[in-house]
Amino acid sequence: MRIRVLVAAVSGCLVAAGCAAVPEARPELPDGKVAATNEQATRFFDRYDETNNAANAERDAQSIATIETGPVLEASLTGYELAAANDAEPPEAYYHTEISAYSPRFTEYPMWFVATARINNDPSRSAVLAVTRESASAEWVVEQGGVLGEADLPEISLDNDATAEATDEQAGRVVALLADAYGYLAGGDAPAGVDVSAESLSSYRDWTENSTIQLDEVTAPEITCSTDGQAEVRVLPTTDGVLGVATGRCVLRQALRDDVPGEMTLGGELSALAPEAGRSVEFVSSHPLVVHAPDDGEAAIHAGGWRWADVTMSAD
Amino acid sequence: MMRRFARVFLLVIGSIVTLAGVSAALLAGPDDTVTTGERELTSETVAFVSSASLFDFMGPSLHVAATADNGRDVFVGVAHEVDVTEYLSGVAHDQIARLRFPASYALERVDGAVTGVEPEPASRDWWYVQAAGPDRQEVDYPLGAEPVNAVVMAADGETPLAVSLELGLQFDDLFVTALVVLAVGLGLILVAIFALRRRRRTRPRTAQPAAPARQAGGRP
Repeated sequence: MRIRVLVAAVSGCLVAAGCAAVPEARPELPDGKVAATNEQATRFFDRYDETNNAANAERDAQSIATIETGPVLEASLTGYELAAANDAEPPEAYYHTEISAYSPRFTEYPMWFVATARINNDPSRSAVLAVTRESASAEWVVEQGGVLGEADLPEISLDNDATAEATDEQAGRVVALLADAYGYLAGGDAPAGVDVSAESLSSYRDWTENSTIQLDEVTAPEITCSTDGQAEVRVLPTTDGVLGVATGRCVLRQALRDDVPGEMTLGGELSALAPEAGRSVEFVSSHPLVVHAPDDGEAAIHAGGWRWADVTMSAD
Repeated sequence: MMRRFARVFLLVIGSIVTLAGVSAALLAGPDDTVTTGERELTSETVAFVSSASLFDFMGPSLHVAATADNGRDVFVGVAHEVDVTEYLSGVAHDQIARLRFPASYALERVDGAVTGVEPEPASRDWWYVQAAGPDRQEVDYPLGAEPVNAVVMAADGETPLAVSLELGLQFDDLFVTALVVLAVGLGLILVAIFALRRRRRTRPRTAQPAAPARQAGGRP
């Protein structure tokens, strides 16, 4: 009887002790942290949307520079310049919704994350953006990305909420696929086994074939495309392969033929960017690209709407 | 002999458990929080920062409260150590390296420029929790798998710093648990006492046979 009472009392103590949350040792995690949680990314895009819509309405270069950098900022500023010169209506306000953020773990700054989102909750308008931050004292800024339309994006591979570091082999596959994209943009040759049906790719091809300078005195367009050096290629392993986010920069050059004397001036809307006379002109465009290289099956090149980065006239 | 040993054992165990329950209940209080109590701290540097290794466990909630002296606004926040380290990089601050509940802080100076930081801490979006303003500001953060720093500084990010600081750990249901432990301890003591009394009551009486009359009167 007394033994039973003792056992019951000790058991009672143990049960009683079990009532409280007992601290556990912190588990071993890889060093560092993800760049942003979904909640933090959503808060950033709330601020981004508010500033971006206001800046677009006012063509406020100073304001847009607080939330964008690199190729995205360059294209926005060029867009403001063109819109002002042509007295265009400001674009409709839009909002990023259903935001998810993906990044590897970082032990130091700078950090970046790739966000997927919808535009105004529209399932046919998915957006992919790369966002970067230089230091803990700096703000997040969008460096590249765009609205892809109705894109079927793969599932990002996660471990403890972070993406795995991309291997060299995965990065190489992304670079190879980007090279295919640049080849198609520059020459129109569709690579084998790669889906290049994105509307933004074909619309650039249409422009190069139909809307360039069509004069006998002017040379045929020479187009070169490559990754914009203002932003790094962001590579994310997926459950079926790898995803890459990059910005292509295409330069289309036309010049007066050597045997044609004098200079030319540019007509049309783009003349606002290069009003002076010269012998050659370069049309620089910015192409948000999201490439998907699965381990098996057809690769895909998704593209956001391409925008003008610059137009320059030169004497050469 | 064995019974007496068991009773003594129950009394000792019951007393220890009762003492533990009383101590835990007094330490935690009805808010389930074990705190250092408010401590006056001053520093020529910009911040007091708890070491990430100070709270290398998960489960309880970290409680941080501070009031700035001289009517200044104070900032308190908890963030991942990567962000805090970068934010205070190159700036001198005082690190809370060790802590004894309820006692004092062991501070270690992290060398750097004795200057303020920009931008103001409350403008950063990487704090898991934060509060800033006049009077007492406090935050609670459930400790998880990520290493975190608790940071206390002036809301304007300037030096020097003079605050009343309180750090604490909140354990869910600790006070109730302490009361239960106390009750169990008291129960053990009562059982021991009850058993002791019953033991006395139920002890069989020894018969005392009457001496033969002739014994009293000597040999027949």
